[in-house]
Amino acid sequence: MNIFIRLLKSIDRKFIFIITFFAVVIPMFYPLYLPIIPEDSVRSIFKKIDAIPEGSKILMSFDYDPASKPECHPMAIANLRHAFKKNLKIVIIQLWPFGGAMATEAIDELKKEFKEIYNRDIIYGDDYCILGYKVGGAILIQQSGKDFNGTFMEDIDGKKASEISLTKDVKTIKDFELVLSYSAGDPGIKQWVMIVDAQYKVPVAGGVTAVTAPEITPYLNSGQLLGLMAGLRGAADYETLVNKKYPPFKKYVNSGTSGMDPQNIVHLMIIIFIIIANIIYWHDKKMGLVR
Amino acid sequence: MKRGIPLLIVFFTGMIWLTQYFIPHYPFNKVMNLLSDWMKIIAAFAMVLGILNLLRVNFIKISRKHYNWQYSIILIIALLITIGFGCIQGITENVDTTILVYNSKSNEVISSSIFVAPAIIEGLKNFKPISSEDVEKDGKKETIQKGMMDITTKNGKVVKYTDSNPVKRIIVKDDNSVIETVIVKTGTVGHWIYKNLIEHLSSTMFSLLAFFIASAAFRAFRAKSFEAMLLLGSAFIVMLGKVPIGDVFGKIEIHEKIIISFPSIQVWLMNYVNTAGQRAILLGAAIGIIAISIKIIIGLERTYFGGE
Repeated sequence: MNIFIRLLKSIDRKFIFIITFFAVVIPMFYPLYLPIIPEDSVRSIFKKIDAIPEGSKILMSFDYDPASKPECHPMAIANLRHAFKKNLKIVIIQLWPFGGAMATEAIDELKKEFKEIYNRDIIYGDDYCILGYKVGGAILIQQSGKDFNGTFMEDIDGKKASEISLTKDVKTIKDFELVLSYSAGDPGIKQWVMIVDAQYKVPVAGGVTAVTAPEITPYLNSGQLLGLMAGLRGAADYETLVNKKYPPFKKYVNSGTSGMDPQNIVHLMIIIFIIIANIIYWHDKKMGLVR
Repeated sequence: MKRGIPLLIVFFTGMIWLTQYFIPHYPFNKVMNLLSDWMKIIAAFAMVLGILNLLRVNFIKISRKHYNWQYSIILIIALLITIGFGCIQGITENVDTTILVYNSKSNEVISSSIFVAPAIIEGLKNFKPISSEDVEKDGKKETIQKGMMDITTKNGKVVKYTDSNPVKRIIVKDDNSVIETVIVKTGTVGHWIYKNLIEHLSSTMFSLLAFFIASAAFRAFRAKSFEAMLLLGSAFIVMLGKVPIGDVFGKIEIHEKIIISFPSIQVWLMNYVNTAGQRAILLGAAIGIIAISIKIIIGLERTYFGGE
């Protein structure tokens, strides 16, 4: 027993780092293909987007940066796939400075997919537009409720929003069927819920990083938030729903789904490490080495 | 007087902001819009102030040679380069750059680098137009063509401009000259910095979290008390319930609607236990914000003035 405990005690930080590395890398090459059962909070977003009539406008707010890209980007891509397939008109805004770059990257990826699968061009100005970054956070959301084009005046190339076919008729935030926010912090989904849902009664949904999810869940339970994608799992859930309805997308990169395998193993690994640490702790406590 | 005027400004601004929520009509809605504009401007100034403060702190660090002062030099250089190129070129992916202005009638280069001009002129011989339109500008007729061409540089490298990245060729003819302007899209430094530095560095920092969380969990997560055991148990359930492997451990069906499995317990924990705790925190914070806001509006709380 003592040899076993001594062996466990000899586990140092470097060993944990090496195990973590392999726990992430190996499942990428040898996937487990475990079935993903989407959560209800993600299904509700899918149902809502599915029910919006073709040609309607939706607003997407890219409120994240490259640091949280691994979690937020896959869910944004999955939503965009669904929305473009449904022929919805997408107006993209950014409350974070790098949001526009994130949106451009996501749409460039999808342009190739739609061309290959459906021979369809996703056209800037007709199918989507990306409005430029402005500082202000919650104040911008508040103002967009009263005067959208007056708040987000130009797109990322400096073209006036009132001259873009997609945005020229938009007067207030109420002209959108749905607001989706991909949020890694503040300003983000919380502000959208507190202002747009509460004051203007426009449904709000979106995705957040896993670490923010517990903070946002109360808004989901109160019905103020239509749906929530939490972390990479949320993205994987949405990808599963999209791929089930539109199978051609299966062959393209589904980062959420492929990210589930490393996450499965790493979660298990962390649990095993915690159990080992507690075995050592209980042994030391029994021996009177710790209080 | 020194404090009286700011206190009055705060009082009236606070009261107007508060009143417009209850009376969203003229004149309060107009004043609110005006104040919102002011807030955006102040927020933009705050960003400038932040940059200036960052520069000040790091200059002090360098001048006093504090620990790791060398990193401050790198920070300042990176900051100035990013701001400089951002201001000059913008942060868009590409900008139109004129690479040659050339009189093809007299074979005279008007503006271009002497190193690249011959190669561009040579490349123009194989120009394949995709589109062409005639426009009138300042009383002169301009032909704007977009097309594909290859430019072979001196060291033999071939730069290809295809239909996805065409060359713009503007031709202005008069009796004495044929002025050709060749414009290509070139990447901006700001976009290059974002694409090749910021994106990868940020992702790397985020990825490192996995290693630190694994290590921290091993070293710090001990069931030292009943509360710690509850926390540990909840963490296990949420971690397993949030990933598909949680379903592998099976489920116990007590009733049609009562299924016990890692995912179902995880959902219950998040929707009930977590929500209850989060709402308590949110309500507490909201009441605190109301109290402090009232104190600021009526002038009882004055710490925002600074000083003692």
